[in-house]
Amino acid sequence: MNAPDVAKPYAAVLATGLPASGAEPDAIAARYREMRPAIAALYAVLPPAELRICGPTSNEANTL
Amino acid sequence: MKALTLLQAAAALRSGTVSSVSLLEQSFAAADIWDSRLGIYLTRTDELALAAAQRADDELAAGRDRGPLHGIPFGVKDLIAVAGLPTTAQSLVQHRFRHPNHDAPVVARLRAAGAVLTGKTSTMEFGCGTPDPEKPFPIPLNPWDRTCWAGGSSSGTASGIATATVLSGLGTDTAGSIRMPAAFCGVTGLAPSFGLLPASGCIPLAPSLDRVGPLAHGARDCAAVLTALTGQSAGANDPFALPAYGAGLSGLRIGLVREHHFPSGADPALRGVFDDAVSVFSSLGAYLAEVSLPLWNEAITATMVTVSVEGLAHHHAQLSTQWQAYTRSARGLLALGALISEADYLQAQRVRMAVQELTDQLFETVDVIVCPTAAISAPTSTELTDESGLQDPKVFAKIFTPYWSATANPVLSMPIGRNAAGLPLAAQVAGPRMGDAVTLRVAAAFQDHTTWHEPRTPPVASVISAPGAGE
Repeated sequence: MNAPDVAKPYAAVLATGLPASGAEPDAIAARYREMRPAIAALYAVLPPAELRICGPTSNEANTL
Repeated sequence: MKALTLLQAAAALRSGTVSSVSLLEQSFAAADIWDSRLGIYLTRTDELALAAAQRADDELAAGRDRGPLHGIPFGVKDLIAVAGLPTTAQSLVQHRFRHPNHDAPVVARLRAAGAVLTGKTSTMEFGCGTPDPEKPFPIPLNPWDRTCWAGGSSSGTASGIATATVLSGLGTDTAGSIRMPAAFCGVTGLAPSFGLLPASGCIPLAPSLDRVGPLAHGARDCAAVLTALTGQSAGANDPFALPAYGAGLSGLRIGLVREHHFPSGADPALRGVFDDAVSVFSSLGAYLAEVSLPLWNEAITATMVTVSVEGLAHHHAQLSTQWQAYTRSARGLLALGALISEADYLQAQRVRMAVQELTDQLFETVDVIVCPTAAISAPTSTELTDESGLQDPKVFAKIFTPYWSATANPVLSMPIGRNAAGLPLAAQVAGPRMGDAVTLRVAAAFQDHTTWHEPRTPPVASVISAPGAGE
């Protein structure tokens, strides 16, 4: 799943396969749009680690 | 009979001034008054409770004492399995798990400790969202003002304790569902260290966040319940045994967090109430230091991303076929998970790990951290959702429980005062990972010297002349 096209909120919610209808898809997509900057900020404080074979280590915080 | 805390009732049982049956009759009388007005129970188990209370009395008379929970009435949030009883999750969707044939381990342990189950208490649907008047379930209202919400999602357990309908109970906490209703109803609730208690037998919301824990009047009561929940016994080897009543906090280091916790729109009384609580800690000999919580906004975002995505994973199939059966706010919160990418979810987990590392470092400099549970008292039921029927983020942004959900730390909410309208205000006490004992110790020391947690009759009782009377 890729990040949804929130410029088309109604379609974005319907594309999930969930049977939302009426005003709900717009409302849900609007809530997601409001969350987007906060989600983007997750990457700003903790940039993707260097490519490594193992997963994140317990020293992850040291990359801050 | 005066309302008692769990430990007061335990002492009264052993002194012979009350019996388990008489405690239960008091619980029944309170339930008869409050349940229909506050939406405390989804299922009452009066007959089973009476039989259990009689057994408890018989055992005590025969010299068999199972410990402080012996003969104590308790309620169980209706997300937690009790053998032979419906477990509805307060949802029209819940069928598969409706009548489990076994107790969740946490329930089994409380029963083994002699506690007397009085019923299944109200919740928000599947532990998320807000009340939906279109659904055939009670709307959990606040004992201190029935225009206000009890908080969620361990709503009925908290309001039940505040009204002496039960003396203790079980809740679950994913993003604050023990601490928020405890705060709004003026009781104490502990989200134990993640992993300390088994969550099996509990309907999951977000398994990497879900915790089961106790609510009661005070931290000492919660400690007694936690001992039983971990399968331990009270006594010399009790890992959660607390210092004697009235012991201070000399030598303990308390980190105080004000940053982010007094936003615009905060209750005008909160700052003074929090400062008064700080003065109590100071008078008890604790060393106080202002600290800052690392990655504040990011930890909260990570929690909310996790709730929606993990919640959707559990509910996707049923959402696809029974969309309308879900409450509007629950399905909206879960559907958000379908818009969040896998990368965003994984990044949220990386941030949670970073927050945990950084808070671990913080706990090398302090023993516990204290901050307000919420900037507001209980909101009115009409304030909870916006015009779309989804949770109103302006209200929920003033509730500070999700930060500590992102980590595995134990965190407790306790009442610290009241606002101008007489509604409870509360503080969280967070401890280091698996530091449940020190978390409880600090809260207990505060409560040994204050009365905010003590049982008292909610003011709405003044409009009720007798059990069953009209409004």
